[in-house]
Amino acid sequence: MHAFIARRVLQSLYVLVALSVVIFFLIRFAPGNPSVIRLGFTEDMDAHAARERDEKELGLDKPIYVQYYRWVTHVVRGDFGVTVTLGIGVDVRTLVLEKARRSLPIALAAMLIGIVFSIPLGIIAGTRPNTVIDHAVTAFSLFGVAAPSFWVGLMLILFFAVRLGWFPTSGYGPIEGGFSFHNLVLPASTLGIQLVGGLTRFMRSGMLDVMSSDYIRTAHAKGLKYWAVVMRHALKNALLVVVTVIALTFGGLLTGAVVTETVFAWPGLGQLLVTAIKRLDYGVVQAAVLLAGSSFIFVNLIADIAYGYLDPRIRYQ
Amino acid sequence: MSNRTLDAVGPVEPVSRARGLWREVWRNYRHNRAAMLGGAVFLLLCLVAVVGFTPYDPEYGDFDNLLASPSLKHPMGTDNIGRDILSRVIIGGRVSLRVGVMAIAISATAGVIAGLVAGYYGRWIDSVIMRILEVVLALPGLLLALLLVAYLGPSLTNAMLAISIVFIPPYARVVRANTLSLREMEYVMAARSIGASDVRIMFRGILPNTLSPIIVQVSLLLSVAILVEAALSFLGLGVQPPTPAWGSMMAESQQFIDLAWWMPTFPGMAIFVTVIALNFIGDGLREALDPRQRRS
Repeated sequence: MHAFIARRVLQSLYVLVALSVVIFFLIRFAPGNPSVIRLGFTEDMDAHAARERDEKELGLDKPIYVQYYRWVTHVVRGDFGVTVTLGIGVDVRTLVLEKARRSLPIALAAMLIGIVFSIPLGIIAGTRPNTVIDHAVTAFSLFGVAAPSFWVGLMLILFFAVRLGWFPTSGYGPIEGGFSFHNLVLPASTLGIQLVGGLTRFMRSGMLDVMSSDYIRTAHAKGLKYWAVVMRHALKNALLVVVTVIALTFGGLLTGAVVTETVFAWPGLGQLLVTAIKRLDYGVVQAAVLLAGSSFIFVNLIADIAYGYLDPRIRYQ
Repeated sequence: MSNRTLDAVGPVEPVSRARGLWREVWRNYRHNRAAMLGGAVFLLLCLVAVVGFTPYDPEYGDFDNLLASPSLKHPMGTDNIGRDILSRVIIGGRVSLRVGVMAIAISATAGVIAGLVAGYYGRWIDSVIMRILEVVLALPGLLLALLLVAYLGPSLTNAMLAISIVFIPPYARVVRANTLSLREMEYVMAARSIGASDVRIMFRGILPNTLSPIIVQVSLLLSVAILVEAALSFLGLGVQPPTPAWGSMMAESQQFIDLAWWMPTFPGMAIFVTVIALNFIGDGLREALDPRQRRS
């Protein structure tokens, strides 16, 4: 087990470092000179002197590995510099963390919706393969997977906000400021529907696998009640799938946030990333992507270790 | 009559054996109603996109008919500058399908080669290729595509390129896993002993035997690629105006959502139908190619 954990931790560290190298090089070779972008004006006569001074200050005249080292030491300390395109002189780290905090309500609510609906639906469908109920659940989960989340979001807005007027069409809270639960319902449902689709499929196939195994037949044979077999024997093993699925969900949350926040004008990390990309604010882009990427790697690591702990067969693969 | 019995037991040429296999696959596939429906719908979508006939010019604004609701004249209505939505959905489909198909073609080719090389040569070559692919997998798909587009600049070609990079690892993994077991088979050793080159063994000996998982992946990942393209275009980072794409049409519709329900509804439905059809095809192919996977 220790060897397994050590191997997975090392692998994650490697991926993290490699990811940082990729991001660093993408920035260095991005269209446009970093110092020009930072200074915010193009190459006219006056700018030239300022640019040379700035290149020296940024260390752009040093060899590339020295530059990477400098960059990494700054990043590790959480120093991403300041942004000029999204407010004058705002600290990038503060900005990204603030936006990430605002993304949290949607993510948590969507995850809750995903887990609360998909586990029972998966159990119901997986224990009754090829019945009407199974087909209905399968059709619903296929809808969640196949319908683009921005379309689902717009349809929800159309029906519940425009037609019925129950919820606001967009925004984080009332105009006066602050957060409102009312505003959370539609974006969280949009992201939630997508998660339910994916998770239900996993839960169903996990349940299907377990239900046809020998030990379940034994449990039936010794005369246990049907639901006792399902809930006490089958579910325990089928839930193993859920551990992996939570890691998958996390990736879905990250990407879903980008699209959903854009649909609902929700001022979170996803919307920040899109805005920063459009304004070529590379500092903000790298900070947001590094935050998302490292948390994705971390969650995957935890899920793998948990899985290896719960299911010893995994460790020896 | 006696000929027929002779044929059945006599030696079979490799060509007809291969044809027989695909006939068997087609027979299995044909019995799957959802898969047949998905195939028909997808073929129809492709036909409409390739022919490209539209009732109106998709970029022409009819200012007498701004935000007209669906009618016989405009079956899907018109948008805020009077452009016919049906025509735009057709041309948008052409763009979205082309990006998806091209991206998957690129990623499948790159992934298959990477997987073959990694699995066949093993050792450090395998490690290097797999370590590189791990980095691609370090970010969720759309996020990686976003990052790449951020640096390449938003355009149709760059979106396609970004999507194809995102989808290389799944192909490489499947092909590598198959190659690892196939290279130990006796027929590969036999081929090597008569002096077949590595390239020949990989492409003529191993690749045909790992084709079925690749085919299934192509249909399933094509649907995901179309979703990612739509998301990029929706965010304004894919296809640029005035060229219509399903994703960007929905982004444009957002401002008018309280005036024109048809503006977001039809492009989204087009994406949805395409993705569902591809999913049905993928599931059908999987069951047809690997009878063990069939649901009981």
